[in-house]
Amino acid sequence: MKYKDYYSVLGLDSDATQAAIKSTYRKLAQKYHPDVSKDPQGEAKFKELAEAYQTLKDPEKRAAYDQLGRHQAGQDFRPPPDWETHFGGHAGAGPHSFDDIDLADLFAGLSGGRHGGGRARADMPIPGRDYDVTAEITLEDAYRGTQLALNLSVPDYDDHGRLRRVERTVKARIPKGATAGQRLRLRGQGGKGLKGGPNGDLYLNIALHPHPLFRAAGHDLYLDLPLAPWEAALGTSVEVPTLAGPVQLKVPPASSAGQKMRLANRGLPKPHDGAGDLFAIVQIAMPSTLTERQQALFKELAEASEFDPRGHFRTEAHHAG
Amino acid sequence: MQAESHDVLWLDQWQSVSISELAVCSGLSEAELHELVDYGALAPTNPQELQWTFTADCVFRIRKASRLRDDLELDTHALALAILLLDRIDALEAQLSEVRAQLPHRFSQRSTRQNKA
Repeated sequence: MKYKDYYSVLGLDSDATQAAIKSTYRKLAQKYHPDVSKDPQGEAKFKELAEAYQTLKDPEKRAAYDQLGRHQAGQDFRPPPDWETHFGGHAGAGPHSFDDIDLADLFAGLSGGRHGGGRARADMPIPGRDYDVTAEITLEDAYRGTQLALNLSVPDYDDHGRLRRVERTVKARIPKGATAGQRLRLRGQGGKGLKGGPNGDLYLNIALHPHPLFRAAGHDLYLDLPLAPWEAALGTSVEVPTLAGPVQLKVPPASSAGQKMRLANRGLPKPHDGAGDLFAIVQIAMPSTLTERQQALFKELAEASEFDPRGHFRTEAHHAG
Repeated sequence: MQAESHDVLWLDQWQSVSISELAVCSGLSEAELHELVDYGALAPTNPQELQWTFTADCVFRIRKASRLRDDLELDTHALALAILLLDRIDALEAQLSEVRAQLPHRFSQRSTRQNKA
C-alpha cells in the first residue's frame, strides 16, 4: 500500500487541532472544488484534500491514521501487525493483502466507530455508485449519435463489499442531437449494486471537440465563408460543406463581410424534433499578391466608383458632437 | 420520469422529474429541496400542487449543489446563493461561447499566416 501524507496535503503539522484541520480544509476546498474552480489541476487537488479531510476530521479515523506512522509520500508500507484488529477495517472480510488497496478506500471502509456510518450491515442492499463523466465527442458524433467506450477509474465494491478503485469500461450510447453542455442520465450504467441494491446511474456531460470548420452554439453551427472581392460584388453560387455533405449556396450580389447566410435545418439535430441552422458568415479574402494587370484593374475600379465605405464615420461623429 | 430507449434521459427543460426522484438522485432531502425553493434557487413547474415536479435540467445543478453542500459543509442558505451564482456563470459562459462561435476563426488565422509569409 502506498503511503499518503494527509497532513502535508493540508499543509499542517501532525499536531494540528481539529479546528485548524476544518478551517484549512474549507479554505483550500473553496479554492479547488471542481464545481467552482477553473484550475485544470483543481479536481485532482480537491480529491487529495477531500481524501485527507475525510480521514483527519474524524478523531477515530485520525487516530487510526496516526498509528500507521509517518512515511514518505508514495512509499510502500504495511500497517503494524495488530492495526486491522484494533481499528476494525474490513471486519468479517477475512484476512487479505494490503498490497492492492488504496489508503482512501481503506479509510472509507472504516466504520467511523460507534456511529456506524459508511459500513453497511451484512444483509443490507448497497446501491451502486453514480458516475459523473464529461464525454468529449466530435461534431459528427453529435450529428449522428454514437456509442462511446468510456474508460473510468472509479471506486467500486468488490464481491466482499470492499471499496476498491477499479478500471471500468462503460459503454454509453449518445443519442444524436446531444450538443455541448447537454446532460444525460444513463440509468443503471454506473457502479454495480450489491446484495440486491440497484446499479448506480451514469451522468454524462457532453463536450464537443473543436471542429476545423464548424463552430457550434447550441444546435446552430457557424461556418466562415471566404469570398473573393469579385464574388462578393457580383454574387455567385458556391459549394459549402455541411455535416450531411456539401450543398450549393447562392451568394447574392453586393455581399459584405460579416453578413450571415442561414441554411435552415443544416445544423445539429435537436433531441426531440427539428434541427438547428447553419450560418455561413461572409469573409472577404484578398489574394496576398496581385499581378500588375490585377492592380491596374483594381485601380480602374477605384476610379470608376464613388462608394464611400466610411461615410458613417462623419455622420456619427457629427451626431455625437 | 419519462425515459427514452436504452434508458437515456435527456436532462433538459423538456423532461420532468418529481421531487422524490430529485431527492434520490441528488442526495438532498425533500425538506432541503423545499428550502431551496423558498430561497429562490429552484422552481417547481407546478407550485400550486402538492407533489412538486421540476424540469430535468435542474438535476445536474442540484447534484452539483449536493456535492458543494457535502464538500464545503455549506448550510442551505449559503447553498442557495452558490447555486444562483453558479447559474449566472453558466448563463454567461453559454453566451460567451455563442458569441465566440460567431467570430471568424480559421479564416483569420490563415490570413495572418499568409501575411507573415
